[in-house]
Amino acid sequence: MSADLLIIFVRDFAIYVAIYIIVAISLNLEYGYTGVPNFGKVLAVAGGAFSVGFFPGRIVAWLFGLGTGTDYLSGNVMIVTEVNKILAGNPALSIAIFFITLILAGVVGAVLGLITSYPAIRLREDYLAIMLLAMGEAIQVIGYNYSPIIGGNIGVMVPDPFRWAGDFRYGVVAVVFIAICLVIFFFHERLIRSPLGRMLRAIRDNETVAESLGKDTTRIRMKVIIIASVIGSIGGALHAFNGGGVIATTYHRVNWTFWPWVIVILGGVANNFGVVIGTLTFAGLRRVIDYYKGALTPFLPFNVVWLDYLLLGIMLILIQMYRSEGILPEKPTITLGSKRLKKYLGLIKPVSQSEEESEKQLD
Amino acid sequence: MSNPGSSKLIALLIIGLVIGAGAGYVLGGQPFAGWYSPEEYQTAAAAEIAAAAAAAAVAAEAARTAMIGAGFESPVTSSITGTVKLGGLFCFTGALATFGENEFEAAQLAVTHVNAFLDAAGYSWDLAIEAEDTALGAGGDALEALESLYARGIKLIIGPLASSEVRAIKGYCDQEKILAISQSSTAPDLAIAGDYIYRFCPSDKNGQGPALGRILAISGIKYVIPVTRNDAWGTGLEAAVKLRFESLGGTFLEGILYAETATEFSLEASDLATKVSNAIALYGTDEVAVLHISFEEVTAFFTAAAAYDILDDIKWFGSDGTAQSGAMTENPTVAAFAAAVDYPCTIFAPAKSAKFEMVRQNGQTVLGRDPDSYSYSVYDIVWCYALSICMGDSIDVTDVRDNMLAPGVLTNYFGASGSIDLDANGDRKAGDYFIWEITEADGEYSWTLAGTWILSTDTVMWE
Amino acid sequence: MSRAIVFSSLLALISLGLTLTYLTTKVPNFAHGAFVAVGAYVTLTAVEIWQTNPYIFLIVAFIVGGLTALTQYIIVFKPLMRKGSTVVGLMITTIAIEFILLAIINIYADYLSRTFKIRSRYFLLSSYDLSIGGQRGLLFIAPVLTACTVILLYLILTKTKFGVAMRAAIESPSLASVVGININMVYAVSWFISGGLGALSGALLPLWFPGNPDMGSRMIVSAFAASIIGGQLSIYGAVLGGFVIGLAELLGTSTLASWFGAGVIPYRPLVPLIAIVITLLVAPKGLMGINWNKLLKSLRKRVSKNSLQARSDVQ
Repeated sequence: MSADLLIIFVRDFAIYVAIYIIVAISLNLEYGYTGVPNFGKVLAVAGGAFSVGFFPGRIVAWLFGLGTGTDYLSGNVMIVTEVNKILAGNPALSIAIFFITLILAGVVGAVLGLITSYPAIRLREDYLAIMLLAMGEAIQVIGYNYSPIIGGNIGVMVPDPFRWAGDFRYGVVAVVFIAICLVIFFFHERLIRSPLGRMLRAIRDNETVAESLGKDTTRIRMKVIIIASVIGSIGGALHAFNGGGVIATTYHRVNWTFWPWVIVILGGVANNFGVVIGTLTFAGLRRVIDYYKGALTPFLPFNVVWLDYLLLGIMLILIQMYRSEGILPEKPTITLGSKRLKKYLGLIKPVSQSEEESEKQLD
Repeated sequence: MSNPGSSKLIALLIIGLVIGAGAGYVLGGQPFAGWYSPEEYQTAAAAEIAAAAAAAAVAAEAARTAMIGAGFESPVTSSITGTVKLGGLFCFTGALATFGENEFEAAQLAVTHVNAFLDAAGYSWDLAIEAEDTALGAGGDALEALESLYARGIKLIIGPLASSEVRAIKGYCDQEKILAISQSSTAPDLAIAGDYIYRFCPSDKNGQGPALGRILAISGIKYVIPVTRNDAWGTGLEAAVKLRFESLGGTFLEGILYAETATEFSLEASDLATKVSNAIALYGTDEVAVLHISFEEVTAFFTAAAAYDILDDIKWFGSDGTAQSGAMTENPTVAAFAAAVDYPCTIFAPAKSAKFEMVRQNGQTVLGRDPDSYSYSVYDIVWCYALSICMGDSIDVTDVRDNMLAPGVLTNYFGASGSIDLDANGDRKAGDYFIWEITEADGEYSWTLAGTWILSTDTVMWE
Repeated sequence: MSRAIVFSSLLALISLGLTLTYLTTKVPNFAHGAFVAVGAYVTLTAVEIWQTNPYIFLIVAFIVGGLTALTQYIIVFKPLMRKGSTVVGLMITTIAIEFILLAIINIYADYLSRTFKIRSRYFLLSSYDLSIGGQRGLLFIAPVLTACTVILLYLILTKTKFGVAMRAAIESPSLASVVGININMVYAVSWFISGGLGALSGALLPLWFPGNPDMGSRMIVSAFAASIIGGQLSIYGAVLGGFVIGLAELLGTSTLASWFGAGVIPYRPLVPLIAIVITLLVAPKGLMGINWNKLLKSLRKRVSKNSLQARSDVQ
């Protein structure tokens, strides 16, 4: 790989990883820290992406009186091309539009979160998982068939708020996305280290006890689900901004529900650093497989793309079997020297596991 | 162009190749006049292909000898060495997986042929192809697939299939200067000059839409009930036909739009039966027709439609999504229904060259079926890349892109899908359209050529 | 209408299998759709390569699908359950298994099309169906097969020693093991039957609807909806749910289309999704779990109490 290609690879990789870290962190907040098995993560992500398809183009077109008289969707490419010309010469406006859209995406995410939280505080986890899965499927069906939102089957072109950067467009995107990712990461770290975070884990581990201590578990859960949904939406919005176009079929349960799950499980449930490591490992592995599978083509009697699915599936099962706690397991939030901590954990783990098992059998 | 003399020689060589291949055909067996009919395809045995290939090789060898004889030390002067990699963005997963299979095979065949040519002509580089799955409608992400190819240094791309996918990768292609040539995207808004997206399928707005509009009109149809696959291609084509048909005095009645993921059509069929019986009650059977814009799901749709007697009382019309579909003739229920409703399907007229036949035979040999119509374009995309690289003596993407439009580069190439005539946007110019129908002979169903729509005169020549 | 019957019968078989694994291992099996595709490819192989009647190979499809599910259980599920994996962990595992099975089916499809030159994707085998009294055979065979399966399962569960053991293991695994029932055996058999039923349905589907490697994954949402409507804990409920969802998807949408125009037809995939949401929120135990007398009474009361009831039922 030449130096140029390496830079491009790192840049694209950074964009991809930043988006997935954001989405995976939001899932970790839901599942890892609160125990809500969100099998409909795609709902919030699509909500954010659809917002990008819906708002910024219309806002700029309205501000500058572009395409008046024509329908925004039928004149989409023409209008957005004009919008992009304006944005390219006006970095300040571009950045303003970018952040306004992110806020709007967050609002959409909050509404979707509110909708998600309704079943989430009422149902047992396996029912809930299926319910959320169904809701995630529904948004795709609606987005694809109801064209006024994002152009239905044709999709929409999205204004590019980074065009002013010229040749460095993707470089700037990478930097901005990583920055946003870091902000979300530290926000999330603070959140879970706050009393709220401790309370969340208490609720997750034993709801009755938490309730008996006078905590309003329902309210807290709802709050967390809404926050997680906002974060997920921002991830989706970033993905849409980077791609430059939105069509409902991109937001499918495989890439925006299952992949984030793989990442969280791989990296370590309820461990944000684990999620980062998980994303890097997952994305890295996929790229490595992609990079080398071409070389295998002559030796395989079938299309080499299936190897991707095969290896991912096997990897996931092996993790479940041999390291179900992920690469970085959940850590107690008390601060201890990491070496000592590991030693203690090593002592504690086998015991607690067998306890769990006997508990299960008694159930 | 480093050496103007060599470019002329290469042009000669290519002409020689094409003539040689054509000669191989005539020498190899039955002389042919005009187009092949499907029965003749079947009889056009592998021997002919072999003869054609042999003739092509002879022509190439002759050209090389001529060049060496003319005083060239090395047959060609080319600064390019090693392997030039092409990337394929195909759809291997989901309902359109058959397209991915066909098209990847066609691309691989073209790579073999190009490499034979490059070798014979004395070039010191060759082509290779690596494919990625865009998994259209099954959780895929065309941009991610493209990034993965680009990370391997691949900047010349074949595909993707759908306009929505093209739109998803367009920004990245323009920014990074990656050339993507789609075999089947036709959305009118993607016709943009100076970008890094070319499309080898003529826009339905200029070609197929007017063709079907005219064909409907001259068949005596006044009222059309459209049944359309809900994707950019389907709705775009429907709009194009409607525009032309209504300008010719026809009317589009309320139709049916079905989900692109649908595999089951009992609802649609029953709804259609109601619509058709209402329309017949008002206008009679002769002036009402169904326009059916669909891909392979046509088999499932016709199976459902066959249950309603009223649906075969009127004519149906099809498009390039179903023309020459092997799945239709293989299934007796479907084929019988299609034959009963005529079902003329239009398709961009690929001239029946040796190359067309080679791609078709390859589909039969490797996958046991005729390739879809876009596979021929995929085959040609590979060749056009190779020719553009040869002529420009450069693998710089912008050079490759611009050279394709430069005069004299593709003019002499007559591909599997006919001549490649691109407009300033890098989109294929519209041409004539064939009209295919399923007919029955001795209980066997097969596609036969019913006529040709001529672009320049906007008329139909029936066989 | 005839398509609705066939679709519903086959959907009922799928959700029956889904419910069976849920009953025993308490995990919604997302890989269940892959068993359906396995069945379809057995039929394809039988019809296109061995040129036989697809119905003869039903039993083979059942066994192949059953073995696929059994392998999944023995290699992956048993060790994981022994380790004390969480429900969510197991659900994720079923997704992983789905990827693996999908890849294998796709590889097999590639092998079929390259070696035998047959259409192995988007294949429709309707011409291989039998003809009974001028009608397509499947129209009668699908519902009869579903009915027979239910009766057979009923007989096994109530009349045989093994069935009683199975029910005991489902009701209370720990108690059952105390009285000497081999829970493992019971689980393994129910997984085998579950996969077999999925494949059985998949083996018949291509006779009426196009088969594709992802055909099962597409139907899995409908199957879950059927299973949930049936209460997830009753095999009879699952069959009932299959018919409710199948008929709602086909006939319900067409009724809506006649009211609101053809524009609603593309939204058909929403039907099972809405069914899932409504069932889980209103009557999480499904049709079989509703106490109809109580419901009539409570209908007179305020609706809000209903949701409270639902909530406490689940928790």
